[in-house]
Amino acid sequence: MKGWHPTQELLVEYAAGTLPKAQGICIAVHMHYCTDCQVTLEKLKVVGAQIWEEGPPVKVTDNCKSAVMSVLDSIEQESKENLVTAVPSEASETIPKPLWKWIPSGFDALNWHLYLPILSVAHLTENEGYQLALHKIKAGGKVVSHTHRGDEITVVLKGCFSDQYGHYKEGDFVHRDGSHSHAPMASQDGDCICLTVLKEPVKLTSWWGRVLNPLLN
Amino acid sequence: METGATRAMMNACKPLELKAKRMTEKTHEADGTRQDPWGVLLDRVAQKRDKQAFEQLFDHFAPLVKGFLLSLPATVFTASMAEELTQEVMLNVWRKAHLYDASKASAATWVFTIARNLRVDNIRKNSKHQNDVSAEDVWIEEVDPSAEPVTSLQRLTTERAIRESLSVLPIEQKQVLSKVFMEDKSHQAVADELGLPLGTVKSRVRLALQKLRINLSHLEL
Repeated sequence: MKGWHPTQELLVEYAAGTLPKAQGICIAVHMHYCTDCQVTLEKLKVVGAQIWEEGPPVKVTDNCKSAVMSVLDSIEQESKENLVTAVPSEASETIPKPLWKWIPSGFDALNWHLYLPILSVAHLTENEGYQLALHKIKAGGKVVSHTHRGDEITVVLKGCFSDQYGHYKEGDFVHRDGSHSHAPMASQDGDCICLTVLKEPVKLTSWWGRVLNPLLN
Repeated sequence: METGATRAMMNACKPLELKAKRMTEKTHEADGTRQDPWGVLLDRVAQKRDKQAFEQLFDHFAPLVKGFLLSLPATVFTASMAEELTQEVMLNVWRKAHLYDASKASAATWVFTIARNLRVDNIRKNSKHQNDVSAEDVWIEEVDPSAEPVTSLQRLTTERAIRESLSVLPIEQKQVLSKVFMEDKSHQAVADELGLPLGTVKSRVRLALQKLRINLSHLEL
């Protein structure tokens, strides 16, 4: 197996649209780097569409149809220009398109919170109880061993890091649950920036506190 | 050595070759037409804003979209909400027809994608969670420009192979796929509903996808 990919389960749920959106963004970002997963996903979509086409169809009322037919003239074709997502600044050009919305001017322009000398975090958004953020580990920096409560997905955007399970480079997709304890370490030759999605804690303890907890204990 | 006569013959052959090439292309086109009449109608909507073509698309796809929306538990969408959303999907078809690319997807796959995205956004609309992420942010149709271009004929061959295998899939494998795709259920939710271990659901999906000849070898188990 070359590189690290989502599981079959995650890819199928992405194709079906059942995956939480924040986790879906991680898949979309991974696909920016991975042609194999793009091809698999195209086929999964075909499977979904064919199952859908088998029905059962449910009759649509005449009113529903006539309402649609009567407004067609007033609806313009969506112009192609409108569909182009705001083109990011040069600094963001190398960043996968699904992240442009939150990283419009490059990594450096983000609001990074330094909370360990070797680790800083930039919060992107939260959705359906999931936190989408970037983690940056300084070149050669090693994060103290910790576990996660619940699932954590990491996609490497820049540089690389390793832990006892493997070595991860740009585009790699790493899915860990609470049973994994790991101590990620960035490679010596450059900072490592990763996209991460974590399920929010049920209790309203601070997000930082949660990550810091294992370090303070 | 090339003589005047052979050169003349070759020149005479050229138009024939060209003609043959055109004919092959035409045959492929005709083949494509036979395989995906909906794609042809979509093109007519895109090129000519052809309302009759759109009406045929509506008659075929709208009931499927409504059925798709109503495959969810009855508490999610009422029948009238399902009709409103069906209207929205079909108006998107009208609005975006010119973006449809027959070399990338069949018309059905394309309409399914629109319906899926709209359903995703509306299922979770009223949930207490914040919703600043739209389905279109997540299900971005980004294709690697360096990837080999796929012709619509290749695509049709793949789709036909999937269709044939899907029709002979063992019922328990088909059931699991249907629940995931139609009923918006995670593998875990399907396992809970059917009283099966999660591993069994996953392996049914895996067996099904292998039969559909979807390569999973690069994925983690």
